[in-house]
Amino acid sequence: MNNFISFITELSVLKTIFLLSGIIILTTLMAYINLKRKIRKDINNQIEKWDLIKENISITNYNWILLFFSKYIEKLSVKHGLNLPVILGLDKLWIKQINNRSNKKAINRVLKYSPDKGLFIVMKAALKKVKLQSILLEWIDKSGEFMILRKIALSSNGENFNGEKAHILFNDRIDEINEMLGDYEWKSRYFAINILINDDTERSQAAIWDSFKDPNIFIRILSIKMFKSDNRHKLYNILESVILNDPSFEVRKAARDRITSDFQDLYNIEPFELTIAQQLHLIELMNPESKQDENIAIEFMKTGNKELELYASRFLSRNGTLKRLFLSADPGYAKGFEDTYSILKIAIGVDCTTFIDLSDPNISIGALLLASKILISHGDIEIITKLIEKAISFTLEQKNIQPHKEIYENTIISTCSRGTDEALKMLNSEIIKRTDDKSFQNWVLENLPDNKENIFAPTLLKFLKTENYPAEKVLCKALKKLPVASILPVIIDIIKSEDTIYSNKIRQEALKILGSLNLPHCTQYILENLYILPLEEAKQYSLLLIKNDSSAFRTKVKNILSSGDASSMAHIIAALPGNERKTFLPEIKAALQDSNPEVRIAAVWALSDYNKGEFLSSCFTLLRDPVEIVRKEVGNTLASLANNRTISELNQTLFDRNESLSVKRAILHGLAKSKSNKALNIILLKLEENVELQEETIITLSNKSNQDNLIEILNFMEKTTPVIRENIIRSIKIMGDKAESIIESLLFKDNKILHKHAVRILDDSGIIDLRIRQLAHRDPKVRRKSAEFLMKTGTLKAFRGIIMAAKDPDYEVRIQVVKALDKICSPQGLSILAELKNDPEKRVRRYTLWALERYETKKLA
Amino acid sequence: MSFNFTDLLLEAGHLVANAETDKDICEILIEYINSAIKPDLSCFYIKNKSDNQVKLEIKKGFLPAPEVIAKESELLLFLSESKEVVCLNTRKISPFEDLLLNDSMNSGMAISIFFKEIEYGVLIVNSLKAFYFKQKELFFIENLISLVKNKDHIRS
Repeated sequence: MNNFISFITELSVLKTIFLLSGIIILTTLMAYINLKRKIRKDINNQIEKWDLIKENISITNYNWILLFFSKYIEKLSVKHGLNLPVILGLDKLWIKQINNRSNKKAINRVLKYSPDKGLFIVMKAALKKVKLQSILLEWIDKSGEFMILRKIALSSNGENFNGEKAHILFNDRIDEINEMLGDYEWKSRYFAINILINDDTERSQAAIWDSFKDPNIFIRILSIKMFKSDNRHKLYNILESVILNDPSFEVRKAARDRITSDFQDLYNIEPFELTIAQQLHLIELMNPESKQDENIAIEFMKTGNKELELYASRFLSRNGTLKRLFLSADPGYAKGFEDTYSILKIAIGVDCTTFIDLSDPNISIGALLLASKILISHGDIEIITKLIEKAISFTLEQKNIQPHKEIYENTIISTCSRGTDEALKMLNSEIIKRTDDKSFQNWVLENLPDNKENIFAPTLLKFLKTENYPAEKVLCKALKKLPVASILPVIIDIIKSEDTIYSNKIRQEALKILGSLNLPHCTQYILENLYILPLEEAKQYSLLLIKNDSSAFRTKVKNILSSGDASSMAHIIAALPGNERKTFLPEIKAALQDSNPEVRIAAVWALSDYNKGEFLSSCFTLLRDPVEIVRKEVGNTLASLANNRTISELNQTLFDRNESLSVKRAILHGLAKSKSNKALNIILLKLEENVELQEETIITLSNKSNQDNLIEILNFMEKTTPVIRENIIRSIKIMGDKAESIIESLLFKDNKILHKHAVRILDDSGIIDLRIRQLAHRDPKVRRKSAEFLMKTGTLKAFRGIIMAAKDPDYEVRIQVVKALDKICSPQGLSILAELKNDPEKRVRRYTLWALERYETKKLA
Repeated sequence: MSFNFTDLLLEAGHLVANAETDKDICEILIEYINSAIKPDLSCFYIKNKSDNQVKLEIKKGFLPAPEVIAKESELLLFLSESKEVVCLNTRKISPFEDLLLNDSMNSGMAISIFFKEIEYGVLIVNSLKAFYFKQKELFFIENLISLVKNKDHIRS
């Protein structure tokens, strides 16, 4: 050891270098030998595998090692009789080398071992370096293959190359290239076209013109992009045809780009003379920067063709036109606003709604109005959230003034129908904020969605508990729309609570809702708490009572009826459903004699409409009940059911000087509701009596406004005194338009009495004057109808009115004028008739001759 | 013997109300018009639903009258449209000249009546004298027709 150390320390620098170099060389040599051995071993292993599965193999060495041993692998290849470079993938590494630096050695190896894969790359290298061309051409010559250029083309994968240089390289093979155009492989045709585009011979040029119809889109695109011809117009026409008719967008786009770069001066397509498919192609290629194209697209939006609308909408959306229109909408300029809305509506109709953008904090009111209209049925529901946020931030004053009012209402409707939970929560807050606003509550509660109890149930139940909540009827409806489970516990709690916690009114509302839910398991709650309701309301409640478990229901009712609690008895009797009254008939009849007036009244109600009034006569005695309220209710009930049996009883009471006015008034109210003709008779008699309750009787009569009633009333007018007639006319005036139009129709019945009184009423109510004014109406149908009506009234006033229309442009009206002149038969009318004798309308002239002849006859005494 | 027009109207109205057929009504109308107005010729033309023509059904008077009235006659068209009494006081060129049933006649009146069984009827009265029919005669016919309009047989 000591000797070795002393040997080292004694070495000179030079010797040391020699020594180290020797060590390195030795180490490298050993590594090379080891590596080579390893590669051989690997390759032998893989060759064994390859013999079995015949798939390309890989060895676990780096690419550079493979490249380093390229020559050795070539040797092994010869030794084993296998194309090892291809099997090992070494050819790909050579191709990569050619691609990177046009390696001559690699080119030779590729041409030797893997021409199918590498020919095209070799050709590209040769096109770059002229020096390499000789290798390729020599190889081609030696290969002796038929259509060797096709082999190059197929190895290209349709990759692009410099066709101009290739044309020079293969100049003596142009015929072979032309023949490639018939190849079924598109890569071959593509290769050929790329070269032939640079060839001026007639054959090649003809082939290029045809290539615009090649089935492969890459070839068509190549020709469109690269072909240059002296015949500009022909080439432009082909490009235009491609734009309009080629089925591939890429090809059409290439044609459009080529026109833009080389033929813009010739571009002149008339968009509205194309077929629909051509128009669709054209829209796709419109220039987003062009105002002209924008206008054309807008025109396409108005064609009514859904496909065109979609394409045009997408274009206008892409170039920002729709968004610009949306954001700049101004409701102050009504026509412009409507035009904008109509265009946007078309876009919405084909589901293009991306233009709705509310992100700008200073967005215009016009845009908000449009968004609110659109979002009711279309568009991204997330935008509704943004919209309601803006809408509820309006001031209360704005919410009631247009256009803010419309935005606000539309937004709430869209929130209710399509809004997200977030939007609905905002709406819920708004509803709470405006609790006291009756009209708002009435409106908004009607629109609430049915299935959002998690958001709205707490609010609505809170309203139910609120004293004097302004929209209680709609609240009931809104609560009923929610799932029962979300409201039932609270409703029962309210009903069962003491009246110190919730007022009677709140408990009544809760009970009504409970009844309307029609829940069999709540029967007991309802029956035991019916007394909360006023008796009249309990009566109306009967239809809501539960019928599912009738035996259980009857037992419960029987228990209450036998309990002796007058209020409960009265309410139960009043509320008994029609089909249950038969079961409890003895109890109801007995109740007519009950000491409690409320029970007696309830019994009358229960019997009044039972089995077509079979037991009404049992109620007559109660018309003389000592308690006035009972007489009133009985009178009202019997009157509303007026028939032959009740009529004489009612007559007695109604004309009884000793009966109180309030009972008689109740009878009149009942008569007003009755549909029987008998009721009308009593009313008219009462009117004729003219002693008391005249105003009430006139109002009662005003409820009798159907045609039969009116005919009877008009006939009655003939028999009665002028004073009563005046009262009847007052009553008819109260009946309103419907009655007046029935009376108008009575004019056309040939009944002199009806006619006389109908005319009187119509004149008195201003209808004749109205019709005279309508002779100047712009609609000829109205004028004609008015003239006919006036003729039919037959009054001098009406005739004079018609004559004013002697110059009416509608000849039917002029005929009525002639008829009116005939009726008036005055010498003053002769001058008008003289003019109408020369009327341009033959029918008018004929009527005029008829009238003149009759005038002459009438003058003969 | 002079007739009171009002009495005649009431009588005719009563008879028409009790008439059983449309033709009975036509007979009554002609009868009473003859009694009241005394024309030289009175005719009732009718068009049945099955017929294509308007045919002479009843004729009172010795002078001749055409058996049919052409369907396209202006008089007929006007009568059916207007439902009014048409008068012609003298012979002259007029759309209503068909109203004079023969060359001897110089004045006349006509009206159409719409029945339920018969499609419609046309009543025509003529006089040899011009200006024979006056206000009184015109009103008589108008009132007579309006009186019978409430009868079930008549379509108003």
